[in-house]
Amino acid sequence: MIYNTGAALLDAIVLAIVSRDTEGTYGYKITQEMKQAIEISESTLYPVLRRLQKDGCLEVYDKECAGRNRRYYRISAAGRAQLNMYESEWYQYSNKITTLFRGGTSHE
Amino acid sequence: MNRIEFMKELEQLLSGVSESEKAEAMAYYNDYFDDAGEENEADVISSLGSPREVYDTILEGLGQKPAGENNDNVTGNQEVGKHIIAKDDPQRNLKIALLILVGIILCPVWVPVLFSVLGTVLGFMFAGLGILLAVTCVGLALFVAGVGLLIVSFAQLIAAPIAAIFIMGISLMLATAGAAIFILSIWLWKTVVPAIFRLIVKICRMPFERREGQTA
Repeated sequence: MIYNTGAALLDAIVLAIVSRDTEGTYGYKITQEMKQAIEISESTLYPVLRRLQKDGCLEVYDKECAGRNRRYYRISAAGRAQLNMYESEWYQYSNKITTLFRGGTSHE
Repeated sequence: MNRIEFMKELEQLLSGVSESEKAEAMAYYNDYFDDAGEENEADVISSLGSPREVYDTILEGLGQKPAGENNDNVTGNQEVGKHIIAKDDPQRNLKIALLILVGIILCPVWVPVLFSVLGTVLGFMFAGLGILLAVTCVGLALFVAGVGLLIVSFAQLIAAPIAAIFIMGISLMLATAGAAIFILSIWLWKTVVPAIFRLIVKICRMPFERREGQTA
């Protein structure tokens, strides 16, 4: 991909993925799902998760799974509000760009 | 490098980080390996890069902590570079505003310094003018005194001729010296003083010229 993914968009993508599971989800799975949308390195997610956790956008809990504890991330109310903000910002932004592109081709 | 070696190296690198952050990161990457499964271990390691790279991203994430409340902060990923540039302009404006603010706050410092420097320069100039004025007065006084003595000595020429001639000589010397000093000082008034005034005017105009230069 030639477009850069800024920190805000990265946050938005992680929040969107986490919000899809009411039970919450875990690091490896989030990374795999992110990879379907954007190019990221496997080490990108951890600092993002940690920050979102500190900002109160994500809640963390341990759940037993196959004989071991796995750390789960679940979206908080604050995180959901943040995600809504990110989504509306994204629609505005992408609509403007799309309009610009379409306008550009129709003039030719 | 296998998983155990990778985690050991990461743990060593994280020894400088706080215990809770270290435990959190170690738990996360342990989970990560567990969830990837043994069959994907090599893939995960090659995709994660070196423990050093993983450590760098963790540390960069922590480095953002002081400004952590701002969600626009950067995750320590190269991909986010563009985002920083986009935020650059308001930051620059903020810097200029801060500089102006600092200038205003520090004005009790730099205003007195500026005025004391100006005052010192002007003080020296007026002291010089004062000395010159004194020299002129001395020259004039010597000349007047010389002439006065000459008149007095003429009056005493008959009563005490020798003393009168002696005084006459002295008075002529005084008058000549006075006249010389006076003429010299007048020449100084004509040449040096206008130069000094031009300098003062120049100094007074300097801050305005500089300001104009900045805005242009």
